Amino acid sequence: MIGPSHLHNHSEAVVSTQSTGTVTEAQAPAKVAPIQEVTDSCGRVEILSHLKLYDRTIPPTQSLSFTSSKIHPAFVKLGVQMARDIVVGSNARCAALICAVKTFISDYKCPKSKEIRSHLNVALKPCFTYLAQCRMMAVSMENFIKHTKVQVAKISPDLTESVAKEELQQSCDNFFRENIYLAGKSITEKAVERVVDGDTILIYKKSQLILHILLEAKARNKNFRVMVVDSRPDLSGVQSCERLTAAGIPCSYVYINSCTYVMKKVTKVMLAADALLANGYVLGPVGTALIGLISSTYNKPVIVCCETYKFSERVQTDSILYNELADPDSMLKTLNEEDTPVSNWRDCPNTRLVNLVYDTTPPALVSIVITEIAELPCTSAPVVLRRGAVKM
Amino acid sequence: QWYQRRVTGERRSYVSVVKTINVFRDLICTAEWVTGRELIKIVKCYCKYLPLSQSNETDVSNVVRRILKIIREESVGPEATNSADGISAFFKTDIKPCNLGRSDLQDNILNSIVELLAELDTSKSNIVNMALEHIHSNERILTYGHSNTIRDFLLYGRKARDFEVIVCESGPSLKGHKMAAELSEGGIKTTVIADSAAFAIIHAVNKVIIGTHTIMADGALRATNGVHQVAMAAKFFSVPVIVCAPLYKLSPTHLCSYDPDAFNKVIGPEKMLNFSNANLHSKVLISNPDFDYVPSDLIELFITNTGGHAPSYLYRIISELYHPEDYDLDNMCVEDVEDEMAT
Repeated sequence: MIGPSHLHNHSEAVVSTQSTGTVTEAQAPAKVAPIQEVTDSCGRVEILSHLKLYDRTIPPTQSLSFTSSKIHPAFVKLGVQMARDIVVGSNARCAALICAVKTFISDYKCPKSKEIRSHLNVALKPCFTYLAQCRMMAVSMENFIKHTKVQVAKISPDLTESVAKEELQQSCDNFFRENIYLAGKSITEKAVERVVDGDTILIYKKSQLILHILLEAKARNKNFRVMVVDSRPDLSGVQSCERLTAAGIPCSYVYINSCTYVMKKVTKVMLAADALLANGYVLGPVGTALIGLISSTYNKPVIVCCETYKFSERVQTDSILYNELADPDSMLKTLNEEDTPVSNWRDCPNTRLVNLVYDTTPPALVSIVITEIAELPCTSAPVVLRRGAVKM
Repeated sequence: QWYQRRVTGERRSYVSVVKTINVFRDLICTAEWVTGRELIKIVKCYCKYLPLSQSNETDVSNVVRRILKIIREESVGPEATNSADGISAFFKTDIKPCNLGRSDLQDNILNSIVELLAELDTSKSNIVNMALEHIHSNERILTYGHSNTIRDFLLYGRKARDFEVIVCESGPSLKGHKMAAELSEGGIKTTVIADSAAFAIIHAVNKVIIGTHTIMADGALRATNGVHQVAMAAKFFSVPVIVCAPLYKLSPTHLCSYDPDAFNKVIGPEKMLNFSNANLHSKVLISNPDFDYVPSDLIELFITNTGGHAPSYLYRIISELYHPEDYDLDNMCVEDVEDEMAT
């Protein structure tokens, strides 16, 4: 993984020389290891044992000390919000991270003997480590962190501290404005063109970008229906339904099992992506690949909307190499709060629950990716990445 | 009064099938008939009382068809049944209709029905005993939702082989949880995943073994909601899909229309969205279909009580099990049984 390999052990962080190496949870000292990883093999699936599984019963702030923590309170708050799924969605999490970094920068005081451009990165590291331990970083967050590191390193040494801080905060704001806000608007413009009267559009779960597109299309008086496909355990599609019906868009709601049942009536499928990988695979919420498969079998166009800052250098061909394991107990939640037969799964050595967060959709199943630069096929992802690298 | 003995809503299809046979057995004993033809007419007439018009009572209607075939065979007599296959039937022009009296005919029919019951009795164990031929060691098997047949199949395999099972939750009803609990009690390492994760995990799976509600005449399935997409994902990664089902689920019906509403049964959405969300219920169209149509090209193998069959072979089994006249049970026009055999 690209993210944690840049982050260092807290004990070495502040003054000593940098050393590379991946962080393993077992080695991280108690100060910066707030979440206990479940390391015993009970309840773990062998093919997924390379993915971290966190023990959710311990609060994220348990082992943080009040007085001498190196982690800024803004990051502590963000960490708890991420761990408890209060802040969800790739754009939202990145925006929240940008706010936390800006707060950090404004409170930051560079020590007399150091230069801001070498020290700030080192000071931010424990915060990022803490965040990664609360919940695995999204690709959008990782890309922002990379961007910040480069910006910090580029600060010229003859600027005063306050001017440098202002510049950094400005660059954070610019990142947000260009890559999230304006990119969102540009994608919406392009995507709304594709919604025609009489359409039935299928969307999956809740995505801020897709909802924005649909609400904008409605505002332009287009006449269409929406089919919301939802899946357990988080059932965020219900919130999509609420927002769409509030805007007056007629909605239907099904679980993902019934996707083949409804696919005949659908004219277009619009999906959001958490990332676009360099080999053209689309990383999205788990279930996206199934929807892509069913849609292409029934010959419905699959439109993926993704901002370019979410493009990643990573390549992979299947869904379990890079993934996140969410809380297994959330699979036990039923609507009536009743027990399911596997509620006592921790007592049964043979029962395991797996709650995957992401899956990858092969490029053959996607018709088009709409980004703020252009409308591309999936396979053009490396071109965009190179263009972005040249710009930086 | 015998209609009341017919239990509706019986979950276990085997039990409802046995009850149906017993009901018809009593009918054969008590009704007034002289020839086989009259009996067939009576049976078909009483079919109307059974909820056969519901698409999901296919087990019952299949078994009624088996009984009708038994009646037809017995009334024609032993010679005709022996030479019914093949070219010789083509050339036989003078089969004498069998002039059995009612009591003899009734005895023959009842004996055949007893054989049918015995066959149904052993159908599950026949399927289950084939487990070792289809599971190798250290396999990962994906299954969907809950099926008694599959559960026993896998538990039998566990006795000799060590393997792992991944169970899809199966949608609003969460039947997969029950299956996982039963399998892990039996000592199989079971993992429960959400249905949406089927594509993510299926490339790491060796085979998909599922049960079904009905097998249609061309090898397609009417199975639990959500099986179609798992089968599609399996096809994408070339993972074989194996269906285990006893032959009384094999129905000589085809998919008459691709319109999902003609084929499916939709049940209440309270498991999907709480009624406390009544605001949404009134504005949003919520669908909770019970079944899924799986086309036959997605299925690799059927394991039935008579052995393993490819989907393309099922037409032959249908012609052995059922008589063409009975494919449509509403069809009341019963031709002369004797004349038919003579042509």
